Amino acid sequence: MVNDFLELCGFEPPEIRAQKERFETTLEILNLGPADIEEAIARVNRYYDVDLLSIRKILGIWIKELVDMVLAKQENKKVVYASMPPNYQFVAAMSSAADDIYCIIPETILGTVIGSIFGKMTPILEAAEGAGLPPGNAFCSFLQTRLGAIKKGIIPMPDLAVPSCYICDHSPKVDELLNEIYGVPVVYIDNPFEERGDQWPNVIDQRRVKYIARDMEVAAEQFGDLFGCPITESKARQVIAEEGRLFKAASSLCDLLEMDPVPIRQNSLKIAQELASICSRRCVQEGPAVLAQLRQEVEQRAEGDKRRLPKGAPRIMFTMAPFDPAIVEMVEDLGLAISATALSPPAVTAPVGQWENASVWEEIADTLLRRRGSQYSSTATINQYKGLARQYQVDGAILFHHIGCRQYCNWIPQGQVRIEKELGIPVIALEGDFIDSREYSAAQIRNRLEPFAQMVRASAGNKTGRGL
Amino acid sequence: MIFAGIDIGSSTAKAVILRKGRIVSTAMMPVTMSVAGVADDVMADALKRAGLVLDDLDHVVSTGYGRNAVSFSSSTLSEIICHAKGVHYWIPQARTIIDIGGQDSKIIWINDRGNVANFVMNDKCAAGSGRFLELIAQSLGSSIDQMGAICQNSQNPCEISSTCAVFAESEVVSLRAEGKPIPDLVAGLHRAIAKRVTLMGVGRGFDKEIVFTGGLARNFGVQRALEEITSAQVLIPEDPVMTGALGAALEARAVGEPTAS
Repeated sequence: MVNDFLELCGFEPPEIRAQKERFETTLEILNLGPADIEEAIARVNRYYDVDLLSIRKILGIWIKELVDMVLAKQENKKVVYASMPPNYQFVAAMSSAADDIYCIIPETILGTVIGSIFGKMTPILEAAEGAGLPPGNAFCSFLQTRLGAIKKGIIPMPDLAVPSCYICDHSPKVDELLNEIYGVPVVYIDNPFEERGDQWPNVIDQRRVKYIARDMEVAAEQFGDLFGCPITESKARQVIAEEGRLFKAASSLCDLLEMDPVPIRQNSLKIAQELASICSRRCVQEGPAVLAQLRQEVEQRAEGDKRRLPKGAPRIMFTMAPFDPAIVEMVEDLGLAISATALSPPAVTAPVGQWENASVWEEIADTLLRRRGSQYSSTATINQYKGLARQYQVDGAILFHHIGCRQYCNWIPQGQVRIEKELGIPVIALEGDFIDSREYSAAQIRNRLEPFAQMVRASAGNKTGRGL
Repeated sequence: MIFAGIDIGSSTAKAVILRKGRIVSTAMMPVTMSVAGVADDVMADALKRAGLVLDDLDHVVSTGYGRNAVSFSSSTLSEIICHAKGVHYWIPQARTIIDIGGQDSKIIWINDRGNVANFVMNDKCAAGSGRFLELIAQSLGSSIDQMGAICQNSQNPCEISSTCAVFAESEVVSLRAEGKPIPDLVAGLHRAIAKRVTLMGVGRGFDKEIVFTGGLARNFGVQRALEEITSAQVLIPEDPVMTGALGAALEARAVGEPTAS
């Protein structure tokens, strides 16, 4: 059974022989048995394009990251937890600082592997609630998972936590608890609000850049003091280049969404593009090649017959696909092609000369703030999604409302009305939870999606004169 | 050809049978824990009234929360789509529908062909649902069917500030202890429900006419409260609880007889 699972996840026979023992130890720690593996095999076959070898290899990278994370302390690594939303290049710089440092954003790995692949998130969330983080819309469930997994002994206690509080106050709250309860050292990378959100990402508030840069510099110093391996400027610059290749490879996959029919299922594309948010050494090194392979395989496939949706299927934007792959599957089963997501917008590059006299930290901060999801402003977020809807010429939009996310609570009601009115397409705010399936029911979601699909088909039909 | 629609809601199951585009029979019964059994029973009742058997049906569409439990349905559809179609059949000029069912409420905006143009829905909170009124009717020693008649004697409707069904119940008990007359309490409750539901439509607005469906549409008090709050004329279809099942039957006909629809 374990061999079957690993093979399904793209492991070659020698790799299975080499990794099987580590994987089985991990399963034991996670309390996952044969029935769970069987369920995971069924879910992977159901939700992902496993006919593509690259998708299987991508699943394999996620599995290997889980094993690395769970066994990090047993394997004598010093563990550092960064947080979502990722400060990509800084996390990658910490990951590459020394061979015995393991730096990761645990929520991403837990969400994808334990949530999407195994469908077993609830015990972790319950453990977090038991440790003091409230459920429902009182606290982000995604960020609960770190504390829950530590509490359950699934992931090791970190030696350092570096929360990115430049956009979310829940992430530092979790690390504050880790500090108070377990004495884990925490270094905060904070940020002021932006003043020119309406012009994001073309205009980046340099006050924010300098603030984040200063906080990163302090964090790098503390990291160096704690582990005896400073993140030097030259090392950081090397990592910037490597991480940039991964980010570019992930972003460039968005071109695939412009094809008709969309040649890849959104669940598959999500795990591929999300590799860029892992920022581990493995991902930075292995990611670009496997993403290039994916592009190649999908392009070949687009010319073949294995198409999930018919040509001309209505196209929609789905802002943030949750970790429950059944929801995305439900959307696609209704005949809607997801052709724009939060992962679609490419990073806006800085103007030439922007970094001429900048420190490496300012360069990292400036790059970060030009990437998706780094904006504070609701106006900026709405503008971003309006732009995406226009760029991908969608016939409708699903704004997935992660109820525990304060940032998402702000812009969705206004965004729904504005996108609907200004673009003349149907928009639905789909209340749910990125990770906590206790917060919604499939029946409620289907009830909303079916009429929405009818509205989208009408919207698409009106464009072509085939309105309902 | 003969088509049927079946709507398994949270409180009641409804069935409608259509022949040549006309309703030949309807049936309704309370939902029990055996949803599949209720579906069989309500359809059997409708068939009996029409003098038909299940095999006579060419296509059946099921809707409502229990739609997947209907063993004999040919296909399923969301009740939002079905309500829109059902209302359009009875009131073709309708463009805005307010539906208050047992455990949810929704506003549906439709186009001139009865297709959904937009919708909002509350199925996460009992406030603004039939169950809300039912609970409070019980605490007042009355029943939901009597509430419409009771409120007609109201002189000064109470303000019910709670939007939660549980806390509203305790608020009503406390207002009753203060000596507020029951008709004023009931009228206040009707206003609270109407406010809660219409709040979902703020931003999109209401037309001059609103069609009111669902179990509470039979309640004159809620109807009047909706009119006061929206300044619209509230229209009630011929059988406001059957619109979902009727819409399902019409959708069944659209599949089985596409040229006739």
